[in-house]
Amino acid sequence: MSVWYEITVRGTEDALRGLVAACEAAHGGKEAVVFGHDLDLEAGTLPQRLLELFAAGSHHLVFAPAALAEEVVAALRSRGREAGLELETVREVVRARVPFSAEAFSRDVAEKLRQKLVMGLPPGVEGENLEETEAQDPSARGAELYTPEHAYVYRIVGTFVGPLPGIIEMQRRARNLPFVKVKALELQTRPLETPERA
Amino acid sequence: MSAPHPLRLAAPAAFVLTLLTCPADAAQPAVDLGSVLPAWSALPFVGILLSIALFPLLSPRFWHHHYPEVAAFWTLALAVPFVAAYGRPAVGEILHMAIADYVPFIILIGTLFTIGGGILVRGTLRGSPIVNTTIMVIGTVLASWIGTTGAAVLLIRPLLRANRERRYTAHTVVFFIFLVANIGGTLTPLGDPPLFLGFLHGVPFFWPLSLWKEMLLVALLTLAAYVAVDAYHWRREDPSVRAPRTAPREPLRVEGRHNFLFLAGVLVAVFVSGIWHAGGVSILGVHQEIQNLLRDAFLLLMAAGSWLTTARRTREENEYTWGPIREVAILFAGIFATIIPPLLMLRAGEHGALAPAVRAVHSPAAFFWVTGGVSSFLDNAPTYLTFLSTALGRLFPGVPEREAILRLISEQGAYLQAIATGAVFMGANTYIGNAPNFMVKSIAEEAGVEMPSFFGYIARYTLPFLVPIFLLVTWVFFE
Repeated sequence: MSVWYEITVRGTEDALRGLVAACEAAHGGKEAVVFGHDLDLEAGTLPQRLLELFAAGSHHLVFAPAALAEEVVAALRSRGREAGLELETVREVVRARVPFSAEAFSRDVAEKLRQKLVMGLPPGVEGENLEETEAQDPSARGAELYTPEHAYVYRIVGTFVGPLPGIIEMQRRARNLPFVKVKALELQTRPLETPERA
Repeated sequence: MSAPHPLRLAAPAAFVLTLLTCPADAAQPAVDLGSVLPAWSALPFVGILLSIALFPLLSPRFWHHHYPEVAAFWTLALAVPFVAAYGRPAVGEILHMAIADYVPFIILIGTLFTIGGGILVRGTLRGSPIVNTTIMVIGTVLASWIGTTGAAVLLIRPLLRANRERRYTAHTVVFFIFLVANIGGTLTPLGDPPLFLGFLHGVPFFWPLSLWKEMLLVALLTLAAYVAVDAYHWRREDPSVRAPRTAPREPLRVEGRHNFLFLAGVLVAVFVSGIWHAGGVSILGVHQEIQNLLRDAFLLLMAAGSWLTTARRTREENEYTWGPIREVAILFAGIFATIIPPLLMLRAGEHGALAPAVRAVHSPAAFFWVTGGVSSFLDNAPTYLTFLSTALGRLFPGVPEREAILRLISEQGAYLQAIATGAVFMGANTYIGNAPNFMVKSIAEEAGVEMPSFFGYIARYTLPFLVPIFLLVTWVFFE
């Protein structure tokens, strides 16, 4: 499975998107870069949050698989300056994770959630600390006016862990399901041993 | 089902105990309790209303299993010191509330729910904006005649079935709560519990019909907003959902149609009891009109007729249980008991301990917003009674209630219009403003619709849609 890299760039988003589009086309269009703005990323440490607050709009994160990341870094180094773009850091994405929880009140929806969240996960993605519970209360069956309580409750809580593309897919999949709450994507990255090249 | 815990029966038992033990002349108050009761005697009333509002949000499982004990606690917290301090006059007030208000109220609610629960709409509808809007209109019109709860129970499942394939459905359920579970119930005493309580206290049966202008304005604007929102979401649906359906459709049909006859019987009985004066009798010292007793007996007959003539399968598919009637019986036993001191104090006007509250609300517009604001978070039936008493205490202090209400209608009609519309309309503002709201939310969630949270409902729907409409109502009718 391809390694992914996080590339931090200073400059305008429009210029960066233009440069990235050119790299994707040159790469044959087989792979795509993911922009950090398009993901719900956890803000991270306090310095990172402050940087995001005060430098909002001037710093951008992009994520790409190894071969495409190499082309983007090369393009930034060779013609980034004339587009007003500056390469800041390149880090390897070691692991991604996204916590989630869900609560449903019918067996149909519970089964649908189970199919989408527990079975058929993308390659390399695992469910960590998954807890599934079902509770039934026959006394709550039927319409209630002042004491609403569901006769059936299905709950699941856990974290998806794995490679970045698989976790992005799970975050997108969970967001499209009813009754699911998804938290921000958390990334574990490390600096490159040779930061000169991806 | 196990035998009920003794505490669960304490709230209605408090009433029964007084019926069995008090002397016949106990209902003749010797003192004006409203002018001597302390302000803190309203605390059990506040307590039970807050319990009904907050427990379902904060601890729904505890509340579901222990609401009778909580209701009993507040009932006894009022009844014991009240009777101990004031003796026979206090017992008389409790008896009067039980016989003149509580029993007829429970009989009507129970009858409407039993009859409505025997009507089942079957068939395959397609949740297009036209179909959804049509269902909303039907429900809004029906609500005044079969009750907001009855109309909601009748139509929510067909509406959910029609929208089963749609991705964006939550807005439809929210507007259903607005229109069918609240606004639609404005025009008759059967429509919403506050209006029936007003009727029991002397508001003429047809008086709510005079609110047709306010209701038409609010209903049309809310419906227009819904049409726009649903059209927007319809365009976002998958093309396969929007494509005309080619599969055979199950024809629309109504099972248990004969129950509409029973509903008509209820309507006629309530109406006749408002215009026919057959004399009075004394029940444990409480004067009760004969026509009211006959009405209540007739209503029970209608309920029994519906129960015996409706197929069990129809009720099972409606998920009909006695649960809601039990809830209303137990909780409103507590509400009707604990509301006695605040009503007495408010009606005493400047001479009562709640005089500052009476003075604070002083115009129809203020009554509309204060009644509505409180009704948004506390059940709208006792809220209506509270502010009706506030208005009577302000404008006709010391005048007997029935006479004061008739004078209110003829001399200061805008106040009652404001109180009634505030209580009925603004029950839609939150999930806890009116009884059917939470029920509809719960049914929708079990059908797979993710409903907004408590604050999400207010932020995304009440504030942008309802509040501007209510501001317009204030300007048009109450300024």
